[in-house]
Amino acid sequence: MSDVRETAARADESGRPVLEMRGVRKRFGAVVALDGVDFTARAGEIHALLGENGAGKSTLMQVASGLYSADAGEVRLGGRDARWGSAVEARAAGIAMVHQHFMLVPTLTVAENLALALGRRGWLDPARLAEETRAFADAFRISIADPGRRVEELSVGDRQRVEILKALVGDRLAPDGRPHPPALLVLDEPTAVLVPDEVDVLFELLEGLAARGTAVVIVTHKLAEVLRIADRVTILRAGRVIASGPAGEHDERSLAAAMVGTNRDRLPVAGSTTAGDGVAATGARGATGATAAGAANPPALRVDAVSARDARGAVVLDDVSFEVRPGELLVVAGVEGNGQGELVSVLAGIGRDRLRDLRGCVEIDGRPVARASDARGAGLAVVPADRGREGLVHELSLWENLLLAEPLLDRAAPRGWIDRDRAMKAAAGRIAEFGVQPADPLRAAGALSGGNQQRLVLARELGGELPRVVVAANPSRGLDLAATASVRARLRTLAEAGAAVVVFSSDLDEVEELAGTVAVLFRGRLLRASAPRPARDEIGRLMAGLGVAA
Amino acid sequence: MNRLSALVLRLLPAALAVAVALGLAAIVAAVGGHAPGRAVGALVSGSLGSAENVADVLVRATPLVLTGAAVMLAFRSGIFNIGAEGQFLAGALAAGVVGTKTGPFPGQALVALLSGVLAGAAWASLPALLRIRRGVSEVITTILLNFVALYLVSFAVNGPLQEQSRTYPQSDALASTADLWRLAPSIDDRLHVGVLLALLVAIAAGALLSRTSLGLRLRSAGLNADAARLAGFPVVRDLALAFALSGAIAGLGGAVELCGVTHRLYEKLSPGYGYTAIAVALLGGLRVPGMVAGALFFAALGAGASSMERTVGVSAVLAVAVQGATLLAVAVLGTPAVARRLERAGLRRPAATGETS
Amino acid sequence: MIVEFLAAGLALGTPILLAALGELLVERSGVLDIGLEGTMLVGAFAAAVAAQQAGTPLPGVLAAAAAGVAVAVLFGTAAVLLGADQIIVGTAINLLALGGTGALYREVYGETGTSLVLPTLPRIELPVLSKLPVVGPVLFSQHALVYLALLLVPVMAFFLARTGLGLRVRALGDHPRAAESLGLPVRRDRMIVLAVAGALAGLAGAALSLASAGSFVEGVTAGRGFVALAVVVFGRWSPWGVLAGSLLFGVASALQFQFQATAIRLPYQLFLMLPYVLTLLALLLPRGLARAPLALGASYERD
Repeated sequence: MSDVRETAARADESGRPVLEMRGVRKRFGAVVALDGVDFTARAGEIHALLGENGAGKSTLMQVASGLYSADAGEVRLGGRDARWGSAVEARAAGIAMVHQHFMLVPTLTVAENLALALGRRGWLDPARLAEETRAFADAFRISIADPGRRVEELSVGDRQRVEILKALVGDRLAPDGRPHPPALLVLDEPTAVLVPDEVDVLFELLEGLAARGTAVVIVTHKLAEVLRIADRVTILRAGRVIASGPAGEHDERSLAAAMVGTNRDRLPVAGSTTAGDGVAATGARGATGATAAGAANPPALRVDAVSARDARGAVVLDDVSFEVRPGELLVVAGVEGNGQGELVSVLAGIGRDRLRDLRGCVEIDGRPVARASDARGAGLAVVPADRGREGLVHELSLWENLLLAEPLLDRAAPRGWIDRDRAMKAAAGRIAEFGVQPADPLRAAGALSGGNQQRLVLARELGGELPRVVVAANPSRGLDLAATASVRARLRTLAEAGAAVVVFSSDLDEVEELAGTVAVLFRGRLLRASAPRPARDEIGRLMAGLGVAA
Repeated sequence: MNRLSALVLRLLPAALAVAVALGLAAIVAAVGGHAPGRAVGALVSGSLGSAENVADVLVRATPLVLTGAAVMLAFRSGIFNIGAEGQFLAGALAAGVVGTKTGPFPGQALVALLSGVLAGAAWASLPALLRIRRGVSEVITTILLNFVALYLVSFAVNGPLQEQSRTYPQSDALASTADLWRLAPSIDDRLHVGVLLALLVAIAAGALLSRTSLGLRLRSAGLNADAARLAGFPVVRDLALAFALSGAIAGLGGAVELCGVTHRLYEKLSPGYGYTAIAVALLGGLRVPGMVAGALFFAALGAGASSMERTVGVSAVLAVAVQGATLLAVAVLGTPAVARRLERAGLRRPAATGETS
Repeated sequence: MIVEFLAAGLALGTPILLAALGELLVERSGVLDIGLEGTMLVGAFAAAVAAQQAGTPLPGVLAAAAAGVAVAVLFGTAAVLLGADQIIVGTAINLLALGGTGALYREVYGETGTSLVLPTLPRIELPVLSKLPVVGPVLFSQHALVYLALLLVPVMAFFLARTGLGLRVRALGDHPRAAESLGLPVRRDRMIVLAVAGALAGLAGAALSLASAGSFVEGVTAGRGFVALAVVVFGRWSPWGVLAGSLLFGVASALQFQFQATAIRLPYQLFLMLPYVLTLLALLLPRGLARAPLALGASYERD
């Protein structure tokens, strides 16, 4: 164990393997998550582990950090066989993990969180804790907020740095109670929640750590980041390593090709279901673009100058305006956390319940949407971003969840009484059509896996009569490739059949494949590209906030 | 195999409850130097011994069926109403005011019951308000209001509602027109119409929850307000309605008990029906048939315990301990850890708490 | 007169304070134990039996603490280790305790129990303070549990704010998953906290039967466990707030006895209602529950 620490401390041994994984296999039930994976992380390098959702990236790192144990294969740390019973043992051995969801106690101060992580006992003097925290932060050259502030008061970027500092400083099992840097630092999707400036700060920090000998692994599915920071890259697809080598040998195109593979059927780009430029997206106040084409066809969904703040007072939507006509498909691209969830809420008529200072208006077929019942009554179907929290009631059965939208319930119970036999039969059909497993309408929705919960929501929202307006946030999240393709096809079909469709997506492939008019949501503002179907790198640049006029 | 195991599982809590009851009776009797066998015998014969005992059990079960229905409706709607006790007392108090300060007039009993319903609903509305407007869990607030109701009743029967003679802390007897009809005076004078009313209300509450769109709305609003809101349901109204309905049923229980059984308001009107109701509802799996069976079981236990106290001298308050032990057993049987073990033994299949049968 | 009044309030508030301090700790660790009433009741009963058998109060105090721990461990086994619903288990504990102590009491002491006179806790005069004019003899001549309860207030405040273990307790209540990720045994730690709180609830029961009452009657706690629950909310999960709430209750009870003793016909029930009504009013204020532990009442299960 001690030699591992020395390895981490000595940058001159850069290049020596820290973590070696050979032939690692891991199954969850019938699903093979890892199918004989080899992976090596070397001291002093930044190694990107790339892959689509479900490719096995997180599982691999969870095996490395002791959260899961491998069914077969070899895991070696610093040349020694390494199998630990828990994440804590793994950390003691020199593997630190920064999760996407921070493991900080929000009501404790920064210094207290660190003291907790270090297992400090006895009396704690706030001044000394703060001093100690600052000393650690300086030692690792991490700029952190005031150690005496509660974590809940910090920005997301600040919290992440505290989380990284916590991971670096050490663990409660350290015999001397002194911080020791890990040999290996794993970060799971570290940029998902960051704004670009914060990403810069993070990358600088990671480069500094690598320079001093730590092996850094970032788990990501963002190609641009890989090229920007990684020394080496390993690409996973469906539980297998597709490619591994110096990042310099790749460009975005080759990475993307390796990531999605060649066996994936690129669906034919649908013709011009979106005739003309029906979308007028503006960042500038009041400049709702007039549309020439399709003027005879009035918009089904009209959003005019919508602005809002979140509970903490930060602007989350900033003068968003656009229109979608029947038969059009608008794809709103954007990195998560740029206002997508908030905009979906506003479109669905529940913005007032969670946002402050909500201004502007949303209309469906000319009628204002002030409440969710207005939106539902006007024929809105909505696939929310957080399906577990907003899409389903976990305690209710599948068939009941399939009725959770006002018009559906009214139709199933015209006089208030639910015709159970009919509802159950309808539910069974819908469940089969969308492949919800297990296909038992009486089962509780909470017992389903995440992917199947998504299917259930999709079955309710997209499976019935043609909606007037469809709003879908990350519709393919958690689905396998076949289901993903079929959902995207269904969204296009709905548009072709005459619905006004808005899809929010953080996945560039999805944006491309949906083949609709593209706009980008960045920090609450809706940005228009140079053309209705901009090139991939232009969307990427807009999503990253490059080329935004101040 | 499946049917048999399902049956076994369904009867498991009930069998456990009976075993706990008999076991505790035997232990306590032994501690006090009584013959355990005689205590157990008295417990059983006191609950089921004769037609008269059966009538007694039915009358005792009535407040439990109503408070049990109130708890069932609340729990299935995602509301932790621990306040059926307070709502029951509020209902009794309101009915007592109507029954002693007005009338006599024809239909007075109906007015008394209605005022009990309204008082119960009102008593549940403050916790509703606090949950909806302030996000305060109803667990603590409903408990607090139980005590407020208790002291309010105590105040009433020591003050404004105290009997004319000012002897005891109780109200005057209700006007005769406020008494509930007797069902079969020739067989047993205690059987009142409230017994049937309770059963009807319980069935109606179950049907509302399981069979109507309103029921689905009520459950969605309480269990996951975000999802219900997105569905376009009027969440605030539904949540408030679920609280009020639960309180109304418990309040009706108090009014029925007053107009059908005690005919006077006094401090110890409820021996904790609202708390027993939690055991009743959960023992019955939050379904009407099971809940009614649970109410009958605890009523029989109470009747048997009284008889045991008279004949053997083992305290009837033991019945309360049995309620507690049963509730504990049901709670533990329902935990994921235990449920998984039962599943593995083929005794249980994972199911929705919504509509499964 | 006012000083005597405060002294009575202090004595009457002590059982509440002891129980509420324990509950405070439990709730800060994320567990809502509404079985507090039952735990106190069992403590009071154990104190009565043991003190009567021994003829001195000390064994009663020890038995009460032990019984409180036992009840808390029962609660914890079901609600923390097995993950059963905390509210349901708490309700079950209350029923079990009420019925169990009631039935056993009658078996042990007979129908009325009027003969049951218990050795009471001796008053301890604090060396210097009790010599203070006017205030001294009244305020500083209380039984040991009063001093213990008062001493526990700053101790608990310091423990939660300034010690490593206090941090752990707060982490358990606000983000148990974060605690788990640091390798802290969430459920074991919660059991330990419960046991401590159980001992305090037991002592609260002892303070009832060996001091205030000098006797035991069925259901002697008469809702004081629920008052303690209310006091924790009223005191916003802070030991000092809990102290204020407990004293308020004590003084209200003292007033009530005063009115009953003098023939002034003021409705004493309104005073009994006071802690409940005040807590409800406090909750009606904006941000009334702002300081509740974030994971309060949710059972914790590992993935």
